Amino acid sequence: MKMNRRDFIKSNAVAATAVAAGISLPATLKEASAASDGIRWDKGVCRFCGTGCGVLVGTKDGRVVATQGDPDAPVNKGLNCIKGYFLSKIMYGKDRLTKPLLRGAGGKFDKSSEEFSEISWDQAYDIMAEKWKAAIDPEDPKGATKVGMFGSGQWTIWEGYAASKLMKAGLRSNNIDPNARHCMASAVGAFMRAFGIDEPMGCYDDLEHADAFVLWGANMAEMHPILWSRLTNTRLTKPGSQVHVLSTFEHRCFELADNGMVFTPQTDLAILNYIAHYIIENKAYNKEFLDKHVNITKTVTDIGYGLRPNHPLEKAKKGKGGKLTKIAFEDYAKAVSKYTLDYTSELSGVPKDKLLKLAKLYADPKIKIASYWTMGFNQHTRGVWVNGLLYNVHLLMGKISEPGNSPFSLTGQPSACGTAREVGTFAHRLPADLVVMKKPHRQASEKIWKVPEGVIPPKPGYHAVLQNRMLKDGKLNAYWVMCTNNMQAAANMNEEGLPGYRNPKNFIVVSDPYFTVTAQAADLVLPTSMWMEKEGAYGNAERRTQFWRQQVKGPGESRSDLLQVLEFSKRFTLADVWPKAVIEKSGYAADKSLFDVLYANGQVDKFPADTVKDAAGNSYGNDESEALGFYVQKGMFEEYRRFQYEGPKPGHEMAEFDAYHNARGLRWPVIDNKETLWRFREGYDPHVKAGEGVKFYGKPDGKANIIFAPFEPAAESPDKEYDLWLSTGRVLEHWHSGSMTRRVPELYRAFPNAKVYMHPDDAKKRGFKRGQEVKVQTRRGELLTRIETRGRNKPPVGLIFMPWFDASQLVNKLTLDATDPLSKETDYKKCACRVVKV
Amino acid sequence: MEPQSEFNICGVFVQTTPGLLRDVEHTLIQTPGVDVHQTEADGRMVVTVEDTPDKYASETLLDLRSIDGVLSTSLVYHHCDTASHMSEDITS
Repeated sequence: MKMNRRDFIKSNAVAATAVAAGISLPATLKEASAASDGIRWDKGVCRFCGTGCGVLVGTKDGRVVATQGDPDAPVNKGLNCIKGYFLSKIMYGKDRLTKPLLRGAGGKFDKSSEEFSEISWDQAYDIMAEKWKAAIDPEDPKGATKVGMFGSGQWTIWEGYAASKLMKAGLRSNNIDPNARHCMASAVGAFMRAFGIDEPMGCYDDLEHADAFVLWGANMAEMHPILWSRLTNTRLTKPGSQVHVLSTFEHRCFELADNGMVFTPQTDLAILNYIAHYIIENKAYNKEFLDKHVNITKTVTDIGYGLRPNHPLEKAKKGKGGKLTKIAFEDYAKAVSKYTLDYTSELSGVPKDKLLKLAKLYADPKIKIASYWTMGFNQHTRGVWVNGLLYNVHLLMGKISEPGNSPFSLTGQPSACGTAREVGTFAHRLPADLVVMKKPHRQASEKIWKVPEGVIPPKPGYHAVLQNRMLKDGKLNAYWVMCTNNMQAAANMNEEGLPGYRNPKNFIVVSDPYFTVTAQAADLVLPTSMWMEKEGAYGNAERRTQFWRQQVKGPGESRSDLLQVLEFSKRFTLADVWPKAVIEKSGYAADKSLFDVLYANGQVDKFPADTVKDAAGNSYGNDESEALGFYVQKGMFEEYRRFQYEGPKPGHEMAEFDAYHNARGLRWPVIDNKETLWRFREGYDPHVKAGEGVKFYGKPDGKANIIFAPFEPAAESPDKEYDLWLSTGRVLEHWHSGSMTRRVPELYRAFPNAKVYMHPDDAKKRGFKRGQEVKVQTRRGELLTRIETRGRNKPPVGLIFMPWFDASQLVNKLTLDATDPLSKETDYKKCACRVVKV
Repeated sequence: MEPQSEFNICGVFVQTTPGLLRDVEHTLIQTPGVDVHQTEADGRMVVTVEDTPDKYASETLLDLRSIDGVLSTSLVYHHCDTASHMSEDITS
């Protein structure tokens, strides 16, 4: 059969869509799509959010030309959201970086220069090594506190693992933290406090099993569209199912809501305590579950706002930290009894009938509930508390760890779970849920890594927000940012971020595919291979680990983050970084390189650099293996797995490396190649023995914690001078800071610039018309934008919403760098602002 | 729209309110760059969206969501190739 390419592609599009839709096609259409047109298809994972959709990637002549939702992927069953449209384009922006760039003319470093010049990789590593060595005193008992790294929930698993190992076991510095600090840290803190082990107990299957869904500060319709389509499908097909949506402004999810609630910022703390109060008052709680599986505790209160110590709010605080004290059930009942319907309705602004409807839903033992949240909960100065208050409600009812009953923290990045959290790229963490503060954890890590005892520093390093403060204060001097656009993403850029990067004492390196806002503030910019230009692995929000093979080569001299880290490690000998006594104890020669100690250690370099092949016999490149002479990704993953089997905390087991190149992902713990859908419950989780029923085995006594915490106000609330709440966030068309999606011309055209969403009455009161240019001001800075009074986001009177994707309207000049003192995560949802005429 | 060297074709799964299937189909057929290939009585549709001289496929795709009766649109297939290659013959 003869046809032109356009018709052929269309017939392919029709065939793939019909399969995903479950529609059968006439024979003629099927026949037309049978030809291959020279496209090689292989399975991959989407580059964007934490949903972890499977995509098939079509490559022709060394270029990705097509993508489709993977019909065999359990997450998305052949469907993609609009972001799938960008996948084949994000690698081909016109301004991809192809060579290392150094600040200064003619390849000579000049911190004060506005100019960048091209240099070689060798020159780049030379100047980096010089700056790092100048900042490291190998005999310092505290380790290398003047060097640091800022990583990413978009790193592949082995990239995060390699970087964390270089920092903690090589350079002896815990100053490594991921951008996931900005999005997931509160969720992590709450998992550890309530269950003693990170990540959700349930999985996406709950989207079909639940009878009711409650969204707490999550705009799933725009941020997790595939999960939202599954939720929508359940709502429309399951009789009696309900959707409740809570937010500080109305968004797309409200269109499907049976009970939509707009609440005053920060009062989610009160609403959750009200629900607990309602359950207790009506004796609806599951007493047997509580007696067997739950401890009741309260947390320290009045703990400040994670600001600099000299800030008046920090001086005024009375409590500190997150110590838990056991209390009696009666004491807990008394503590929540303050949160009556009247009081909570008045505080939150939510009508009483709506609150009551929500409380009844949770209190009905027959209704299975899945609760979802993202940044509304996590980016919160009481983020750990508010996560915990929701667990309280689920634990009171025993609605947890079984199909349909699922408190579930959604993630925003493709590997915030798989990389940032699981391999331990946080300032206090080590692989597989271990922490640097505990000696047995350090010892286990040092043993697996084959480094002498005492190499890993025991004190947590600088977290994300503290890194910017320490850069500004000149205490952190050699700093590497990888795979993230933190100058745009971090709060209070005017007062902290920018002065830190531009401090003459500091040398800042940024690795990125594009010349982002962060790269523009750097001293050295390294061109990075991305997504399908390397072999990779991500872990999604439901504990699913997924792999892909390298499909194409990166442009010019670009290198993956993995290769960059490993090559850099060759620039150090042990004498450069470890105390003499430690080197002697190790038995290694002092001139041995960090590369040899950490990566050519007989474990990571154990597997030969064979050609990578798929089941159909297609061959794939692997630039890292080619450069280093061993199968880097496999060696790195297999060494990491040892933490899961030999470490002191079971429950994180994964399958062997090769299994993931065949499977459409597996949800850990994976025991005997079987994944786990619901954790902590007998029959689903292999770690719970017959007869145990439910066991929260992350805690020594097998019991989860209910943790009482009260309502406390936000760090900054509107006042006479700054009379509006400012909430920031994302939009469907652009992903996070827009460094990839804003380079797709048609997307840029569809949503070119950020705008400020305002209630029509607030606009009218100030004499603004829709589309008018205005100035948004806070105590920290100001920016120009335009007014939007219609459209998808409908803020209430008194609050404005502004997305942060736009590099020409840097909303983080305005935000306050107040954090949750427990999780150190910034609250991007609440500060005071005013909007004035230009 | 500026002259472009790329050409985009998308396969899109559209779910409609069953009673409004024909209305949605009617609107889609009249939309430039959109073809309806298959419809089912329960509201499911197989649709393709491609670039037109005035609009990128992605823009049309985003517009589909606001058509009355459309419950959801899911991108399933996306091909982005050199525009000049589109008229080449293919033999299957």
